[in-house]
Amino acid sequence: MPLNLTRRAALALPLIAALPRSGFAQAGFAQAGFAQEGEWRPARTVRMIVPQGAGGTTDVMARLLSAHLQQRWGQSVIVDNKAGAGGVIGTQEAIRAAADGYTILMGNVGAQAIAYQLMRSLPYKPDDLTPVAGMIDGPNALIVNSAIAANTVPEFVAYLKKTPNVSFGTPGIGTTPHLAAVWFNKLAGTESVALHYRGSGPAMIDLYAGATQYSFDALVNSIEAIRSGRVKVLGVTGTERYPLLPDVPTIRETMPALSGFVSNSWVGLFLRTGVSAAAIQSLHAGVQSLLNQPDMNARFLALGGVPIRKSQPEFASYVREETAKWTAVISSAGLSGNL
Amino acid sequence: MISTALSDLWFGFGIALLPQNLLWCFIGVLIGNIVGVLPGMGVLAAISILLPLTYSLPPVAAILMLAGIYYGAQYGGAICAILLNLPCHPPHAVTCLDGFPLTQQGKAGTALGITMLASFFGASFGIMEMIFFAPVLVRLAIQFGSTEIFSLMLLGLLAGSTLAKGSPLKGVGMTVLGLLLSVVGTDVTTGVPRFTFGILQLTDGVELVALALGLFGIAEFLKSVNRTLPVATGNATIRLKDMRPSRSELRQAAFPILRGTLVGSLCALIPGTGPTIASFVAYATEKKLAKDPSRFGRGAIEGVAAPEASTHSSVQGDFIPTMSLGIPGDSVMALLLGALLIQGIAPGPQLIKEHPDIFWGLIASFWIGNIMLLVLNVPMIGIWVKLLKIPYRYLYPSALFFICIGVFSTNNDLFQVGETLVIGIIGYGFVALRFEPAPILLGFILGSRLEENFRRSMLISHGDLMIFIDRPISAGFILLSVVLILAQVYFRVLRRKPPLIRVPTDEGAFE
Amino acid sequence: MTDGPSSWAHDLAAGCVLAGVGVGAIVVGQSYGIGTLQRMEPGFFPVALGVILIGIGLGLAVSALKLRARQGHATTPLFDVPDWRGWLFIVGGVLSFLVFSTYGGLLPGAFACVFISAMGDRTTTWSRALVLAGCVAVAGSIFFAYVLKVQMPLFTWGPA
Repeated sequence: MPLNLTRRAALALPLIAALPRSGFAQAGFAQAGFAQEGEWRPARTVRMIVPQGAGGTTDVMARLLSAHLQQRWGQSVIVDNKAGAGGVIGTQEAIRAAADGYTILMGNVGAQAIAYQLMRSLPYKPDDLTPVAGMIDGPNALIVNSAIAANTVPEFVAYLKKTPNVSFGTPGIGTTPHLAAVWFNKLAGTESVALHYRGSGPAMIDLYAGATQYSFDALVNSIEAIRSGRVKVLGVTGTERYPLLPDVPTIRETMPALSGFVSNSWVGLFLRTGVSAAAIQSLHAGVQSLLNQPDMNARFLALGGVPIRKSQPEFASYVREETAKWTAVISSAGLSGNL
Repeated sequence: MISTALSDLWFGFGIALLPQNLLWCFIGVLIGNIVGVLPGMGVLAAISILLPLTYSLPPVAAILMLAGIYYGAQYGGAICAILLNLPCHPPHAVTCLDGFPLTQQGKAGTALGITMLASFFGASFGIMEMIFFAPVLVRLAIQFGSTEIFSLMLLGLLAGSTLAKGSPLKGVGMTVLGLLLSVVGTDVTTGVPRFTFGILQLTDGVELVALALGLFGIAEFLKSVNRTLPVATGNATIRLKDMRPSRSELRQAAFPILRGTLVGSLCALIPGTGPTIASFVAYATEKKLAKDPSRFGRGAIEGVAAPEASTHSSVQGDFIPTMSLGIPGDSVMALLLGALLIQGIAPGPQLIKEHPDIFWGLIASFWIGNIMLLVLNVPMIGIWVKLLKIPYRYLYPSALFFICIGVFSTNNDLFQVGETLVIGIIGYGFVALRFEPAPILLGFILGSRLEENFRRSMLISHGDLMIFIDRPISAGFILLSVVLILAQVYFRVLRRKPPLIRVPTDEGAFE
Repeated sequence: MTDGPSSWAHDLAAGCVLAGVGVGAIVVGQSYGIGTLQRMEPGFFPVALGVILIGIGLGLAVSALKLRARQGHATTPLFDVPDWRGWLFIVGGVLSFLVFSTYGGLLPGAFACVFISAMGDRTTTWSRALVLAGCVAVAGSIFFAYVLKVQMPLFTWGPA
């Protein structure tokens, strides 16, 4: 089979990580917290569209939530994987469905923030979707070939400035690791060449060999390589340090020029615009009751990120900010309409 | 070192033989076997559909089951290829070439018997490789960057281009057509959509399963409907005795099995070369080495034994880079990796130390699973062969349905079903012009890798073509390619030398 | 019929088809930009393949003409007439699967697909096709829906 690990998988895979194996079964599948009296409840089967294949973070999030909602509502919630074209096909399905709250979309940063500026002809616009609730937010790591004489981000920026023809590998065009690198170079005033691979595995091999010099990659994919010393890690792209790597600084704390540099992959729940406020409320409450379960922090951490605990308007404005941020990065890098 | 490996393996058997794990392993190989026999439904689809069900299983059971589907399907796939000439999934496309002629000669039982033997041998070798050489092999595997992969793909293309029977020129033409088809979709290097004609679903490229089943399935039905004579089942009441290949057949198959196994185990290590490429390369190797290459495509037992051994050893070997580096070799492995990650296990150098139960349990279960498959399939051969007695008029409509649902399940998208139909109709046109469809698959599989890795290498070397010679592994493959071309030219000249007045066949193009 | 040997006419047509595809690849491919071998643009590879295809196509056509000069006129019929009934029903079977599985679900889709394509065989009677379609649809749908959990509902009304 050809490497199907294309953009969609690359967008999704970075996040999956360790769910502590004990108790995963009980995690989302029990303690659903029953819905309040008078809350909107579905009267028939709900379909949750995942615009990605099985096994990615977006899919894992959907399975967790669907089991939880099923208990909460006493109504079956079916996960429907509609992968293709970097999430566009699944999103399109969600928008075409009736605006009754019976079709929900487990979206992510790729199709719900980056795609608007990156894709040439996108069959939907931001207004077609209403962000309902965030699920998980996961950072990338800046990793470099171990032979490179730089142990901190400032040293690395200096290295980039004096060395010509430095290149970085990406798991695919338009993925957060790719755009993070583009943005990093822009902020640091450096230049390097992007090499695109099908997924982060092959990119990692060229990084080991020194064919490429550095890469941004989801922690989940790189943490083993970091621990075994095959690559050096210089920083993480989150707002805060990653609890599993407490000694590694965030990139934004390392240099003033990079103080605005935050680049996370996130997954969240969306409905097509026009669904009743009651349904939105009910779904948001359902997500919160999942995220507020006591061991969810640890569980999400193992999955490569942190739960997004935001109110519905907060999440909506987060999505708007993210869209604006990536739109600016993409257009300033001349990547608009690249796909 | 060997003794520790053996005691670890003993520990692994302890894990794999736990009733619960044994059960999941059995379920896995059983589902795999069935999925393998059914045309259409691929391993990738089966695993991605069943993956969510394993989220709630304990990790060892989950991975044993999913892995079981993967190698179990390979056993099933061969059956379909040999008996029905349908490559139920791509690695077995080359098995059709000689397997089906054997069936037509009434030797289906023998072919299946040899296949099972070759499969088991290949798989066992792959497993042993994983036990004893994993650390060494891993060091080799991380040498395969873009440059090396390009050179290897080039060699594979040159070696495989003479794969088809019949006119060499037409075979090369089909290979090039396959290369061209692989271009369809978003260009990985620049993001430009090519030959998609504005169709969103085509941005991910042509689906391999749709291509294989369109060409070998639908095109074949269109060609054969109302026209086939029943396949001679030979002695349709096959007894266990008939399946046992004769001594001379075994002797004939022994070295091809060995060579196929080696080819497969090498291909497994290199990211991006799964069992499909392994089987093509093994077939091409046999054809190159054969004293009388013209036997191939007409029921040569080597043409079944080598690719099957290769597929199976590659399938088992595939787990080496995945488990010990955390780098998946193909999309099936990427899914299994995902399954492990979801369970809280990060594959990588630490895996063997941190989760010996998973690593050794999995290895032990490979053997158990393969034995189960052998036990499951050998007595079944007689029943499988009876498939041939089903009249074609009942067989093709059922197969058509399996193809439709199988292709649908690769992406949960009916678009792919339509794609298969279109490919089938166009494919019929090519078959009618006496083209062989197999080389298209080869070109299709190699094409995108060839192009992407070449372009990446050029970016890495800043436009210096010498990069392919400067790197030792790559240089080796380039050298082999040159030797291959020179040998081809030499033999051609040599063959022309005797001034024989040959009638039409001398053009090669007109066999 | 399609199993007969390859005649010069087949090769001539095959050569023309390959060359035609090659021309198409060049025409569409060059619009993506060609670049150079060292700095390939997305059009380079398809255009190069197009050129090779034209070469192979011409080679085939020329050798076909040479053979024709030697063999004289074709002995086998130039092109096979497809079995139109089989064609109609097989293509119809797949199309009906597309339609019925969208608007009716897996079971109706399976039934329509098997039944319609079975009617493509001239020896199959209505009743036999019905029985076959019924058996395959029921057994197949249950297997795919419950054992393999294919993401398609057994029954549905209207497009999902």
